[in-house]
Amino acid sequence: MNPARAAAAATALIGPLLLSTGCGSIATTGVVESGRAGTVRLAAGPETGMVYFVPPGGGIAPVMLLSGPSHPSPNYLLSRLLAGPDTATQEAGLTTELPGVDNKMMLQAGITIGDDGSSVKVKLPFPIGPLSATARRQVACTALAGVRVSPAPQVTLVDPEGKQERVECGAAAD
Amino acid sequence: MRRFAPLGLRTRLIAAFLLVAGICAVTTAALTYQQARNAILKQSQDTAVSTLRDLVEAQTVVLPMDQRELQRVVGELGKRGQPHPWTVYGEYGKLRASTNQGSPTSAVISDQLRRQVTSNPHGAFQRTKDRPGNTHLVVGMPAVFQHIGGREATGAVFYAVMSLDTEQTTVDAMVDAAKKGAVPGLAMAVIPALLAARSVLRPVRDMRKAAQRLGRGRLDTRIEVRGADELAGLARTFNETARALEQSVSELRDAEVRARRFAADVSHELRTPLAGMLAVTEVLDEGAEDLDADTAKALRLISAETGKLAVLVEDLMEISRFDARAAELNLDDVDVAEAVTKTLERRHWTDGRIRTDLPPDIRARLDPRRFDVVLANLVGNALKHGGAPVSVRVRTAPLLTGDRLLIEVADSGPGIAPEVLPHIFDRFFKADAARTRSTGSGLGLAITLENVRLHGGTLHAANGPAGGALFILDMPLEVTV
Repeated sequence: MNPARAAAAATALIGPLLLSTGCGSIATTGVVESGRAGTVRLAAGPETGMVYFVPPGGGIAPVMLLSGPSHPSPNYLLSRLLAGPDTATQEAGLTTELPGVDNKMMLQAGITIGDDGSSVKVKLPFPIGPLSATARRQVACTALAGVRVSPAPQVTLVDPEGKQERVECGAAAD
Repeated sequence: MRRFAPLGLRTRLIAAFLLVAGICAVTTAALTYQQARNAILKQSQDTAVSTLRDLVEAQTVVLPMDQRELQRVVGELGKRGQPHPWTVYGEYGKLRASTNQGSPTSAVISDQLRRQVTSNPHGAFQRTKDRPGNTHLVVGMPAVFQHIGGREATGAVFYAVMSLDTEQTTVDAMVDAAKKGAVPGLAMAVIPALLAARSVLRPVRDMRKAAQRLGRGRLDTRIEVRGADELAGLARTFNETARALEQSVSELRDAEVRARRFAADVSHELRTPLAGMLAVTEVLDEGAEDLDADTAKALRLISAETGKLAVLVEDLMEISRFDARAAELNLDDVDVAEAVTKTLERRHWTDGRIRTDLPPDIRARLDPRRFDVVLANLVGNALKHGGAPVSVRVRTAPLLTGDRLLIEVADSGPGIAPEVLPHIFDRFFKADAARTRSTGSGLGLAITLENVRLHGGTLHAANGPAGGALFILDMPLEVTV
């Protein structure tokens, strides 16, 4: 074998090997998923009510109603949701995507549970057409947290004009 | 296209060994290194992720969290970093907290990692480099809670940032060790390479020496056959070839010796009766005048042919002596000009047909009798086959190996035909086929050449610039035996 060709062959063999093994330094990586998330305990028990608001990063986050009654009714939770984030919640940067309502409108809102417990109707005092996906999730999750039924029932929104729409608490798969 | 000078077998073998050793060493080192590095990193990463998860799971939080609550949790998480101390960053809503005083968030936490852990609440890690080029491990751990039979994100995410300097040091040490190990490894590979080269080169060298000895005529040369490999087979073949060559050469030599001895014997046996015949023909020649014309003519023919036969036999015996290497030089110091003049006078070539150019005072050491034969043959040949005038020119030429004596004999004849030139010194070769019955024996030039060779000289035949034949004799001025 010609020495020049031998050297070229050796380089061709070893070169990619050294490159592929990334000789000498620790390479950076992309994001690698590794195991489940950490489950924390909540300071308040399951009897405490829970409504959902929108953190700055998107999505929805639960907020516990420490000042509210224990085992609150679904209607109470809905009224707290429609009332918007309180001071502590606002300080943490959480907002709502639902439109503001006054007391008269608040009376029109209400949650009715189906007889078999497999469906929940949420009556809203404003049209549901312009609502964002995040706003619908806020309502759906708050309603489910209020009825506390497992498996989760189907949530349907109803607006003053009688228009109905099914919503999901889980994030839409996109 | 060949850019490299051809390399020796030894160099090529050593290069091949080094190449193989190098490839093996680098491949092994690279693969081992890769596995070890990945194992080290995996262990660190796994430890960091599970440690952070365990720490998060030990926490009790209030939702919504306020700045103090977030700072408290972050402080708890930052106390026990594994496998190395770490900095913990907490993010909840727009709140930011960290164990690093004065910097509530870090640039090494990428938006990609943030998006991944908020959209899909699972643990995740990423290795990133900061501005100065240090590698960090960033572990993202979203906090979830148990809620109606499932787990739901609290919105709080904790990040642990840990320097990988220790791992980098370990990896560097491994690379360093591999580099340091490669040089002695390759140096050791030279030893088997040299041994292998020796085992191949020694038989080859032996064979070359043997072939050279064989070429010099030592036909009894044999090689010692070692082992049973291809080189041993080659050595065996060489020995067989040498044996066969020796045998056929010795047969040829025997046949030649027999043929020469036969020629010598024949010449010798012919000489005695010829001497008697010459004596008788001389007597008959004297009485030829008394006989009738036809008988006298026949008698003279017999006499002439007998004389030629005697010359031929003498020449044959001379040639036989040369062939048997029995010819000897009787060296003497002579004046070359005087020797040439004497030769011409003895043959009565003083009638102006010969032009001589004889510088005086050239002393040479040679055999005067053989020199006389050589010169007489050349001049006689020139007169007989060429034509007058014949010029004889004597010169000397200094040479590295000693002074040379140069004698040129040129005639004015038609020259020598090109096809005849290579055979002019052959025995019984007649340039002119029609002149087969010339007075010469056909051995004159052959004997001349043998005499010149005996003096250690050479004799060239050529055609001169004027067209005539030109013989150039070149021999040492001081002949040594």
